[in-house]
Amino acid sequence: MAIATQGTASNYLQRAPSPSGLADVVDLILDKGLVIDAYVRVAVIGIELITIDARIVIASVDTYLRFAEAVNRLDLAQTEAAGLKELQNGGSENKVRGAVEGAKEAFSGGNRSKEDAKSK
Amino acid sequence: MAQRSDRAAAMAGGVYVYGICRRRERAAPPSEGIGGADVDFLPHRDLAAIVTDVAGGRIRATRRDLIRHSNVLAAIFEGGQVLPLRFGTVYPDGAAVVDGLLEARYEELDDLLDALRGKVELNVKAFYEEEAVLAEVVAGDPRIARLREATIGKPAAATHALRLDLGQAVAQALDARRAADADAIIRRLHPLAESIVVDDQEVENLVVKAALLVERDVLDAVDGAMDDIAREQAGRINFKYVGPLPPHSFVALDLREPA
Repeated sequence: MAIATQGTASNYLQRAPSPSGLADVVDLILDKGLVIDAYVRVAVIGIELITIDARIVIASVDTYLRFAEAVNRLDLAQTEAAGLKELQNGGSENKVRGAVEGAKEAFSGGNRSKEDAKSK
Repeated sequence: MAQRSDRAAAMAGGVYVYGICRRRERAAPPSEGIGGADVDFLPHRDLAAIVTDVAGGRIRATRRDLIRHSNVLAAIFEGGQVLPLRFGTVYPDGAAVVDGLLEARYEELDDLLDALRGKVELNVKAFYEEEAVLAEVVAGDPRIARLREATIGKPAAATHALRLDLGQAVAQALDARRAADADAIIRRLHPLAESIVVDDQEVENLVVKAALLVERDVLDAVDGAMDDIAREQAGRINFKYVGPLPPHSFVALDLREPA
């Protein structure tokens, strides 16, 4: 069994045998796992201080302005290279999405709301 | 409710439960459980609950305890399958764990352990390299390219409406691209997995976040597939790939009594 992925892709593929940061641990054990009754849930002290690894996307004027600024900062030389790359990446197929959604409905206990995600 | 629960726990103490494993597969747990206390097993029939006695001390769930919960499950998982409980589960005492959980829910727990035998969870997260994907968006949409030309280097106040149009068009293009890229990644992993759970939480630059349930003997194949995908996407998508983990995302059995 390979524990670490070696080779040329390693710069783009971070491989870890176990959760490497608190955010990953929180992801696993606060939102997932068996939920049972007849128990007492312990409140986690200071959970709001835990840094989740990325910002939640909120479609808003601020987001739009940030995107506008970001594309205006782009170097045009890069843009052309990316255009070529795009030709190699085809469109989407809905078939697999359907299968995945099915699996999700079967296994997930329900969608986490954005409120929950933000409150962490 | 959380407050009431917390106070009850603080007064009474109890038995903290990490998860459930087969009695014969009990692996050596780490020396430190919740609150730094010992980790023990409460066996019943062919099951065992992995527990820490928290009676007599105030339960203070800290960041270290989150890590400890995860470490205990990882250690037990070395010896066999484990059903992880969600963090923070405390029973009044050992008898309540045996009667209220291991005996009362025996059939469900037994079935779940059988169904998950030999299977492990892998977590995959893919994030865009922002500059690269924005460059693709500009190159792939003439309207975005025009709006960019119309606003670049111009005073922000004078081009506010155009900037909003530009940003909104970029956001829409990113969404479409994200859906296509997420599908492509999942499509590659799908044949290797028993089940896949895709998290639909929208996070900036996140392409896809998924948990895979796979047989242990296909781990090498998944490693190979991830390596291939990451190499193909190098420069535009970065991957974070964690596992093998206990099947946290695949024990969706909700054992609460129906309301």
